Amino acid sequence: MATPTKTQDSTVRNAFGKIENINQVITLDTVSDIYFAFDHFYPEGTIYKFDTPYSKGNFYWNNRQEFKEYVFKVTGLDIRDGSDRKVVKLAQARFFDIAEGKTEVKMEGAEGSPLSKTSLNKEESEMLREKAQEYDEQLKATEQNAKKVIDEAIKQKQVLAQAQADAKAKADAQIKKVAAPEPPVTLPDQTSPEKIHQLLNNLEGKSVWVKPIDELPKRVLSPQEKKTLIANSHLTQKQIFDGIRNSIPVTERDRFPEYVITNAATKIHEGGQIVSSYDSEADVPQEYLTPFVASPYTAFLNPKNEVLAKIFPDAEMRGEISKAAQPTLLALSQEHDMEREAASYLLQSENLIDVYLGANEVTAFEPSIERQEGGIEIEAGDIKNLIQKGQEINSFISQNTKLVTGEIEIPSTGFSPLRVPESQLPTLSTPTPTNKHLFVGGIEGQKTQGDLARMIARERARRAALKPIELGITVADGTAPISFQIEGAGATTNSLFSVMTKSEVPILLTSIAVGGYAAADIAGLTSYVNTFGGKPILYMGVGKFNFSVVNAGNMTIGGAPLSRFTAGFQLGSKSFNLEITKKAGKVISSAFIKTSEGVATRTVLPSIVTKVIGVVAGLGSWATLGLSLVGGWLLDKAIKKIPWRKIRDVVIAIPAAIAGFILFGAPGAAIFGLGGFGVSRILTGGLPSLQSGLTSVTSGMGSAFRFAFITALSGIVPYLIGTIIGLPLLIAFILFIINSGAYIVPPNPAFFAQSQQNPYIDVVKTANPAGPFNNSDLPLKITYTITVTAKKSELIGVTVKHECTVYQKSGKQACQAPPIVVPDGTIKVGSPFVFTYDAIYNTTYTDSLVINTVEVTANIPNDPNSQTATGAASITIGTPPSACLKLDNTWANGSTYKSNMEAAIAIISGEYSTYLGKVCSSYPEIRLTYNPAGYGNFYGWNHGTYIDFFPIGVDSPNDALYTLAHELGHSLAWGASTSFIYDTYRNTAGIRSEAPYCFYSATKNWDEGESMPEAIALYILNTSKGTCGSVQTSWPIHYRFIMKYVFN
Amino acid sequence: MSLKKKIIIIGFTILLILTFIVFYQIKSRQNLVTPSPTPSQSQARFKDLAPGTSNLDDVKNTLGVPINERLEENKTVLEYKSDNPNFNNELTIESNKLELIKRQVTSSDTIDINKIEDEYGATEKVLYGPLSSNGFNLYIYPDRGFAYIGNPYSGIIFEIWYFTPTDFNIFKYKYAGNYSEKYLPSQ
Repeated sequence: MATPTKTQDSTVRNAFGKIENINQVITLDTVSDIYFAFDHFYPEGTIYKFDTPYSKGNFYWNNRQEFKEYVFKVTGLDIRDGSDRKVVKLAQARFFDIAEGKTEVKMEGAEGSPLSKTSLNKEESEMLREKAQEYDEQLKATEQNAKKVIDEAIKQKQVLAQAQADAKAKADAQIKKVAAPEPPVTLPDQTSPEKIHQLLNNLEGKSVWVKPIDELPKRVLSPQEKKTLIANSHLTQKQIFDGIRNSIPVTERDRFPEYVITNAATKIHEGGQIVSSYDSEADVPQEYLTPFVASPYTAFLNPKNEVLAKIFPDAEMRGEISKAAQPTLLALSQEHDMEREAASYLLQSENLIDVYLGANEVTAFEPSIERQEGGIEIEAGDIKNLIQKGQEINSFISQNTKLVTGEIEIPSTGFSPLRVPESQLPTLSTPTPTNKHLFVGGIEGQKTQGDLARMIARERARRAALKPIELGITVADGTAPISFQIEGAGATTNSLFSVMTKSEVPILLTSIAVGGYAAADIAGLTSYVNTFGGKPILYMGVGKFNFSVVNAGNMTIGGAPLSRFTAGFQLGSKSFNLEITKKAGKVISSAFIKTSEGVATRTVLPSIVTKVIGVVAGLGSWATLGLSLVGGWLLDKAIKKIPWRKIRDVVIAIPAAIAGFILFGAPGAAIFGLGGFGVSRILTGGLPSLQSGLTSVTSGMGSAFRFAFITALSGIVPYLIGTIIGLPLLIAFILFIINSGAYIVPPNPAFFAQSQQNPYIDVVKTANPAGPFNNSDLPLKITYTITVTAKKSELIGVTVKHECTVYQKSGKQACQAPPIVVPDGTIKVGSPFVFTYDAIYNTTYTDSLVINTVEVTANIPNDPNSQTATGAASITIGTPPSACLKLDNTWANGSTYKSNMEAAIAIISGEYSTYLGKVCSSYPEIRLTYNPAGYGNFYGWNHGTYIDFFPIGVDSPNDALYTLAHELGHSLAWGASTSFIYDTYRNTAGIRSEAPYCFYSATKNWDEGESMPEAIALYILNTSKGTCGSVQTSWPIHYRFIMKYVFN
Repeated sequence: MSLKKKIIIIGFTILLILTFIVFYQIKSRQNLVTPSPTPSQSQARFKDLAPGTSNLDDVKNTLGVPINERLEENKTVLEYKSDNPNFNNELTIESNKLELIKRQVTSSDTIDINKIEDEYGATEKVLYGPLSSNGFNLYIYPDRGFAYIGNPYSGIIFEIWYFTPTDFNIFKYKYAGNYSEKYLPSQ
């Protein structure tokens, strides 16, 4: 068939200008383009005032009238008005019929064609009337259902609000209770909003260090790839977007929503900025770290992890984190896969894809209590975000599982009537960045109908192609994205895997579709033994032959035990396997042949989802994955945080898809990929058919991995039903997340942990009397007491570093600090070490600040890492130098916080007086306030005339110095006489190419508001404390700027 | 009543009805026609470009070929070089219409808050955003289609925004989603 081309006369012509038979133009692949056109010209719920041209795929119409005429010609239906939704729906349905070949139609009223008619006869009119009535009824039913859903959501929201109101009191009450024995790690069926709220509250101030177990992936680029990297850096984002879109074959474009391409283009564009200043490939770094950004969440997958248990003693908390981490990882993986695949069409180099988008490798992380070199700190805010996003995803799945299971009724046909009217949506009074672009008509305006069209088209195609079987032979391509499935005697051929990798099919299938890649990884193994759920899996291979045994033992499907034996051999890239499955003693068999021939011309990208699942499997905890994904909590009735307004279109889409399931019966469930496949077989054929189905979908996987997978599925099938149905919906939700910008921000690396409270050592130093003192009080005798406490384990090898510094206008100098020795170097739990001494201060201490610091280092038995903690005490005499900085009366005398802040003031006023002088030039006084309430993870908050300091920002001398130095940077930018410095900063060439960063996540990428204060703070921190690295070396443009404008 | 009078009354009534129908038709047609928006005389403009009125062609005719184009949601953002080496002027196009202009201001422009207040008066419409921790807030003149990011203490302005005149709430919704009426903390 000649390729159709666009014409200006609203018809579709082939290359020779001849009108195509419409059946050849409107296919199941192209019908969605027409649905987009309906959305474009007749957007539902919106008054359409724009009449702009529409172009997609092979179709082009100049205006609404042209489209209207086209619709009339093809369907015989005249859309008089966009509000006439019934006619629009009927026309859409007619297009489907044409696409499916149910109706043979010829364009332009050819003789014998229904289109030759310009009016309907009585019977047809009657039929249309009946259909319209049917749609009306569906619409009513849908609206009622939607209202029910929304009401439930609102009700839950109210419950949550009430819970929030009561939470604090309950939390207080909880604290007072005697701690109960730790419950076993369970994943509760339902976590109450109160509990979640309490758990989130308990996260305050907590963070988890995670470190990679293996090295992060690296890529070495070839000279050609470096050239490409530089060349790409000069492309605009639009050019990259167009490049990707145009590289994707027309037949594949539907698979990639526009925002996926946009995301990929954005990342390639942003990645290019890093090298945009390079002149040649010689300037490009030899090696790139290319981690998959969500890898750190693997540290949370196992709720029984001992280190995690120490950080979060509350088992329920760990359970919540774990069960949030799993779907989140999968969600991010899916997003990653989609973007990589889109980018692959343009880049044609997996190395470059890895550099721009992150490698297709999951690096397993493990939690650690202390900061580790190369580790990453996942802060409380990140964990909260993780839990909340996990809940959103899980609740979303739960809600839609109910739709599938019939708890919520769904109309049997149709999809557009399922749209939730705007009037029934909860009102969001305040637009936020994540909802501001949502409006009537849906996310991104008009994609929903097209997506639905595609989904239903495929469902119908697959329904026609797939038939339930009990014994089958599968010929599958292990590495190519396409496989051919031959089922039963019917020899129905279906490009199953190409469908599997569509964006709207289950994650599990997507992983399986590329599982053959994993096979290549393990093909070299000659033996492989694994346990799974306590059951052995044996894989043995000798040369070209392999033999596998999986004994599922008491794992059952439909109440029957399952055993599977497989034998086969590999020859080159092909493998041939015979599988025998026994159920309750009866042998059923399923054989398959796997081959890697027919690899597509484009590089086939492996799915990272597979690897994520592999990591989970590596925990020996498939059941955990399965249960946590689909177990009781999946059926959680609470709709705690579903942003109904945001997911409106998805909500609409889901009932539509599920309606297809119900409408077309069990086989129709194939739209859900494995989900539908498995479900349909369970419903119709029980175990044998399910096994056959599983065999089919896993035939592309490596042998050992495949068996593990099958066994795992066998064990969790009862739960899997919910998941496999829910996962397509999850993906829709992921698309929403990607689209709305509400995606989960992966944790950021951090390398600075000295500020953290030490979990083993507590050091307190006090001064008595604490002051403040007048100069007339001199000479003074101060008694200092230092108390070192072992918090939870004996301390051995204890050493104490004791220092005293006095700050005066003339500068700083050392003062009396006697050496401290701990007897035997040991401090036991319950027996603190206390050291007391007196210090005499004479008149040479006029107008001074005296700071005493104690640094205790100790070892913990059986722990190779030493521990360090600090304490400080300070006294002020007269008026020490502090320029315009004034501590107000919120700082308790004698408190560590105050000492830390006084020390910070002393350092900045003594060693960075130029900086402070510039800051103070705009303010007669800057009030420094201690705010014990805290504010999330914030260290401080600059209000212009005063600065709030929160406990976590001043809990160590380093923290206080950092926080003060940073906040004064804001004061510098804010001040009337110095804000020109900030203006100069914004205009400094190249300043955006650097991101001074140590641990403050907002500055991981250059931040217009935060990066200048951060550069100042990191410079002071490094110069004074030797932490966070050299600003001069790491961020030379910033260094030159602050040297010239801030410290000069 | 004589026949003549009846005919006159009937004729008058028919005339009245016809007049009404004609008037209604004209009125209806007027309602159907969507008048082209014309820029308000008081609307702020950037190089004769007026958001809401100017279209993509106007932009390209006035400013030439953009140095970059990117997509944001369903809008196209055209970037043109400014005097600031780190930030470009940005013009947002939606459905072929110019929607928003974000113009970078540098010291060479010699524009400060005093000059703006001389022209437009002071405004109480303030939103706090990512630069507020440095004293730079967004000050809005909704009915003039004009806003700026500036520091009231130093008078320095970083950006000027031009948009279709609207009310404050719509401005917030459409253009300032990541801004707040409350000053929120940053570290």
